[in-house]
Amino acid sequence: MSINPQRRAFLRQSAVSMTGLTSIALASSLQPTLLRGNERKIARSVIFLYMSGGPSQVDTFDPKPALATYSGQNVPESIARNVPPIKRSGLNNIMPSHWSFQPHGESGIPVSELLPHTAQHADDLCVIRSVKHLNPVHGPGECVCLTGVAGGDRPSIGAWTTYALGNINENLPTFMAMNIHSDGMQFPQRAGWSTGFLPAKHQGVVINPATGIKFTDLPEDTPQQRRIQQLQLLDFLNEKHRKDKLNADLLQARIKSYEMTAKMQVAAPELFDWETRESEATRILYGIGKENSHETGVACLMGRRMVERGVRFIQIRVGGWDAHGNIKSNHSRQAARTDKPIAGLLRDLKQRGLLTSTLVVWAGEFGRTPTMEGTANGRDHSPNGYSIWMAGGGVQGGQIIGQTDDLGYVATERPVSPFDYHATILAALGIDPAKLSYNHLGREETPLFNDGAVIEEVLA
Amino acid sequence: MLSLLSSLCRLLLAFSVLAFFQAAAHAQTPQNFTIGNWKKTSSNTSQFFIIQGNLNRQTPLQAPLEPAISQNSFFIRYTLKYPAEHIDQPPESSGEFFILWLDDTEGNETSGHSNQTPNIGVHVDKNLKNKYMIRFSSPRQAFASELRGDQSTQLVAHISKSKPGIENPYDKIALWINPKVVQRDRPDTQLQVSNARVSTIRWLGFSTGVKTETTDRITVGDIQIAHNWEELFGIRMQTKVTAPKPLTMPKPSISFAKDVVPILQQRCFQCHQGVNKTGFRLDVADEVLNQTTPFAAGTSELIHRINASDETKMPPEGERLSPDEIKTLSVWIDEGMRWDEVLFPTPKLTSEHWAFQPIQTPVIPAKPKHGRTAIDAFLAKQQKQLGVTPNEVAPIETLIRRLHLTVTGLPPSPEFLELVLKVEPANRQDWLDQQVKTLLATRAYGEHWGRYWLDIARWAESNGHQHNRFRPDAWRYRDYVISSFAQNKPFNLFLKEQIAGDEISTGDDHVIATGFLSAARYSGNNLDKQIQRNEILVDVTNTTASAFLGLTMECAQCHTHKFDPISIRDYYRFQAFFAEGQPGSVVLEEGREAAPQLIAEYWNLFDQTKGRVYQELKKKGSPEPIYVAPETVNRRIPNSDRAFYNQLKKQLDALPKAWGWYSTQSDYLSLPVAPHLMRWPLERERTALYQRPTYLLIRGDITNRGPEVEPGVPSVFAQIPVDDKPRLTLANWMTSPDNPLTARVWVNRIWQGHFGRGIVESSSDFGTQGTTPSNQDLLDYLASELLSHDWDTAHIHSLILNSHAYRQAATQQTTALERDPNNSSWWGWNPYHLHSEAVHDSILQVSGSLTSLLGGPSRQPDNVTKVRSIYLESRRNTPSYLNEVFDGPTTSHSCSRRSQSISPLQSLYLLNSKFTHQNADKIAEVIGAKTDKIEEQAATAVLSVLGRHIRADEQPTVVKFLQETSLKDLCLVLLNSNEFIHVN
Repeated sequence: MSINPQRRAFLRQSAVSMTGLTSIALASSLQPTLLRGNERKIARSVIFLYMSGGPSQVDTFDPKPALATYSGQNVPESIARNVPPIKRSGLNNIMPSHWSFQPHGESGIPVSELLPHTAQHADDLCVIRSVKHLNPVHGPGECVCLTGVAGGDRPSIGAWTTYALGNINENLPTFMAMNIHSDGMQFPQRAGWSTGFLPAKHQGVVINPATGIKFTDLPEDTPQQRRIQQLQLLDFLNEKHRKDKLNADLLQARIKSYEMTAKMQVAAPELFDWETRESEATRILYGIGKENSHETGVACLMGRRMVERGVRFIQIRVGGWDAHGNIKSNHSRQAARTDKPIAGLLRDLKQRGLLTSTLVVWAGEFGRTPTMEGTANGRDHSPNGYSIWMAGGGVQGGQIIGQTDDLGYVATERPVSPFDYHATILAALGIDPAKLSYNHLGREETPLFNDGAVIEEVLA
Repeated sequence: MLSLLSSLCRLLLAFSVLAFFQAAAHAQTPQNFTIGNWKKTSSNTSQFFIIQGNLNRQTPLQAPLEPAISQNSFFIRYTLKYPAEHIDQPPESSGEFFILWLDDTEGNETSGHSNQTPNIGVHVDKNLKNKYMIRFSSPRQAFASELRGDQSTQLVAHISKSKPGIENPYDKIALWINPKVVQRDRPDTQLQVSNARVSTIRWLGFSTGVKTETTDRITVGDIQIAHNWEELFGIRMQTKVTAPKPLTMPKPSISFAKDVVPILQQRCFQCHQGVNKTGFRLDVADEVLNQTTPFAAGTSELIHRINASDETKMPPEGERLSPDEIKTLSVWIDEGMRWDEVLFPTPKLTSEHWAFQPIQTPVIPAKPKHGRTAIDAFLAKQQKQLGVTPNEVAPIETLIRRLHLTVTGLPPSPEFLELVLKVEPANRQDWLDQQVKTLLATRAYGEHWGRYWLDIARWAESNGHQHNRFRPDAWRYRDYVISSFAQNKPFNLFLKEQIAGDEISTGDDHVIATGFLSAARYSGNNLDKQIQRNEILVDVTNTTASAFLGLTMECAQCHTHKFDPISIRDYYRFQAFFAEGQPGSVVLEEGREAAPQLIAEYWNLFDQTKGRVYQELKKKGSPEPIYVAPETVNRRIPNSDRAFYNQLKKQLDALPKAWGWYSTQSDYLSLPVAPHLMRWPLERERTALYQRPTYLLIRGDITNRGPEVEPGVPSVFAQIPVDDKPRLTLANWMTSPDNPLTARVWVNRIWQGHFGRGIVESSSDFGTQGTTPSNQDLLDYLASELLSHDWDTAHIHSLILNSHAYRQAATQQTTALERDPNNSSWWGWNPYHLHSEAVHDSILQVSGSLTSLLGGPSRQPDNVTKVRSIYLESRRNTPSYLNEVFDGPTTSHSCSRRSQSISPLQSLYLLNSKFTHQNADKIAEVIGAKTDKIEEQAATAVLSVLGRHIRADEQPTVVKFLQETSLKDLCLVLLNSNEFIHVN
């Protein structure tokens, strides 16, 4: 199957839709040279499931029987010597996982019994067990996860994506972010949907999946007919104002944005109206209506609805994974919040034929230590070697990439960085990240920063 | 001990022998007094040393001093708490007795330690009152105030020898009860004896006596010995500690000149010597540092490359280096990578780049016909070369709106329009010149331009990062900035106060001004104190360089700048100016009398509780006291102290404070720093600020130290001596008339503030990668005007605002657009989008709802608050919706110029938000009350919102709309119009 004609059509469409806007339209990004592997299956949308707080790799996707063997003991020197001397990385009191692992699917990828629903999609998952970086703190870690750097001053991966590919449906924002369960101390980091040095228009729009995009409802005293009259007068005044003016493009673009407003006002309520438009079966599939999984369920369902409507990048941040104390109850709660909705999302995308064009990424800002933190039966932060997964468009599922040591502490094989998986996301979208650049302070900035590289094995 | 531990951690991180020696050397200067392990001879003591009597003489607690003390004078302090219910009052009973003794012998459990040796405690005086007391023996006592029950009382004693010398005895004691830091010369009592015995103190301990009952529960803690008064208060020692000299490195086994150079010459220099096309030089020390990690050959790129066999190998062709050669280079790096500057000197960085050349006062070209100020002459010359002619003057109503918006961020009132229309058309431009002066003296100007500066200063009212704690006192810097503009403070002074206020004086304005430095983000969740400090220093360095000098130094943090003449060494030398300081909650003048006591009491209680919690955790196996978070301590304050603690917190909250910068250079005695609680704050002891040598960090990695550096300006500039006020030195250099950057950068920012685009478009990057000035003569003219007018910002404003360039119309000319499509010669006015604050403030202004405010703590943004945006709370990570969609500043990094994005979300907000509807309603209401004639209503609405009279060609359409809809609808449409949303 060749996707080229469709893709070319889309590029033309993007190019057309972008020329109307004055902000830098990145014409060059639409040149074929930017694309890589044209024959390859590629995704056109991304759903990034960001698990805030740091899920434990050894309790989810990286089984380590040795934890039980060495329970209560200190980390042996052979492993400890590779653990970077960062404050959080405790070396005493190894703690076994509370959950057992079973191989799943044809690929036999082991998934913890904590995530039974996700496990059913093992053959779709490409699990990367060897992500590592150096920042063991949530805020900077979140920035590393989503922008590559702790200061968060580079573009988020969502911003790079929309910068590269533009929008599919101009009636909706190109990049939307939902922050679910962001209670407690892990405040969402704005950098995660910001643009860094890229033009501001590429930033993500934060929306509450329950209420939708702000200000799309017509005020009570403004019937539709009245709005049409308002826009007509506005257009009349704006055209007069624009006549013979310098910077007419800018003024024209703003006039056009009012046309888009009207369309968005129709498109957004339709998008967010899942309650009357989705079946009971779908709700059950996503765990909607169930106490624990409702919120993530709605967000994931919105994710699918956005994909269907051509939203390019969807970020769903689910907070609460910070299991310093009692990891058993914490991760059980988090699994109850996320497992069914995420599995439901994968299933739903698949049954609608959307999984081949939608890349789904699941990642925390770091993993957790194989040791117990203090005495509270929890695990501390550990960015030394943790697991993420990718599934769907552009990705070869049913495989595991990278390894950690026997305790799951440090990545030992095929270590990769957040810049690497960002590059891989772009590659899965058909973009060559090395050629995607933006001139900032005289430097041709790319999503690779200094040494990021595509994890080629991930790609289909 | 803790600092030694962290030093050791650093050692492990860095694998750096040098770092270890230096850390060890630092730990020894000055030598700290250490109290050894407390020996508890009674089970009646706990970590808090709760002591009870036994109706006998006893010493339940004692400890050795390591080393012993024999110096001429020292201070000792402890905190004592006596339960009121247990205080026996003579003559009904015997009264109380309790002492801390200092002796040369250990004694035994029942020793008195009152044989001509210092005692500090409580005893009954002649009048049968329980009093705080000092003594050498029973008959030689002196008393201070009466013992007060239930209160933590701090006893501070100065113990000294009247005859200096190691062999002479300690014969003098002075005692302070709950002293304030300013009471150094006013002890509560003192005592001198002639028959003192002890010349060296080896032991100290607490004793009770026959008067102390078994029911007594006496709490002691916070026992501390110090060299001097200030150290006891955790403040700066009088004599500045001189940084220890780096220890000489171990004798090398490899000679750079004899062993290393021949290898480099034979195997590397063919490609990597001098300026070469590979981009890598191996004949310059700082550039070799980019490829190596001193003391760690194993992690050095250079070694990886010569060992490699893939395409990264070096040399790329020909014979590999021999194992011996590789070994020589490895050992050379492992021994610290010695360099011979005589053999291979660091080349003097020079630059032909325009911005680094002195500012020349250019000759003003002939004034053109339309010209109003010299600016027009410079532009006319450029326009002539390009073959373009500038636009005519803009219509007067457009011009006055433009003037008000770029100067004050608010549109003019309709009354102002009436006023100007009364002036003869021929005189209006000159009349406006006068109005410029008036506008530049308004607070509204301070508010608008203050906001511009706050963008550059990346100011916000929270720490940023994950916890993003609120900074309740940050607003003072905002007010300082506003009034600095409103008062037209000379820019050089404005700069100095912000960079070095605390070094100039401890006056409130100076302390508040350092809010520029302390506006840096601050991660409260970082356990690694070095990374935490480094993040702040990097932020301060980068922001200072870009805000004032237009230098993008951040690249040089990791490697010598690829384009600009700034080396990695320059970066760390620049950073060293700031190295001995940190942000904090500095108490202002009004609170300085009360603060030291409150702060000391607070930390005293805090530390006691922390110690107790730590002991509990330690028993459970938790490794380090650092893991005891302040929140935990807050929760665990003992119930008996809870009320007192809460009161202390309340009093501390009430003190006037600024979120400022304090350092070893600021006058500590006068600058108390209040607690700013976050989970893992920076080290609070001021002594922690000393001995902060700055190291060049290899690839910007804090764990990877290169050589130590001293403060200095970038080497491309003439070097200056740095004295003991390093930041003031820096500020003086930045504002010296010879500095080629500061004045240029500032006048360019002023230009951008009016025109929306600078003469140098990259207004925070004047380096080689920045845009070139569209008219350098013009830029230099303005810069030299600034210098010759004593950095008078208003003067530059006036030159710009009175120019024809500023006053011309926004008309598009076909020919000009062809010949100068980017309008680089400013042949016409480029309309631009209002900033988010101006959108908000203008809407409130035209609806007559704007409430003026003279500063003060920030207000909550809601639909009820109608103050200018600059007074609304500005927290990092959670910008207002208006800032979110209308390109507000990031607040995490310096923002030199707002984006101008266009999105339907902006339009949705303006069309549908409660805010715009409320204000449209309000305008309609006011107009409706004035007239019910449709035509008049239409005209008044246009006048109120757009600041001009309705035009004949739009009047019928507007009136028709009004007939079919409502006045409010018209106002809403006008608020949405491009004309309203742009500076036209």
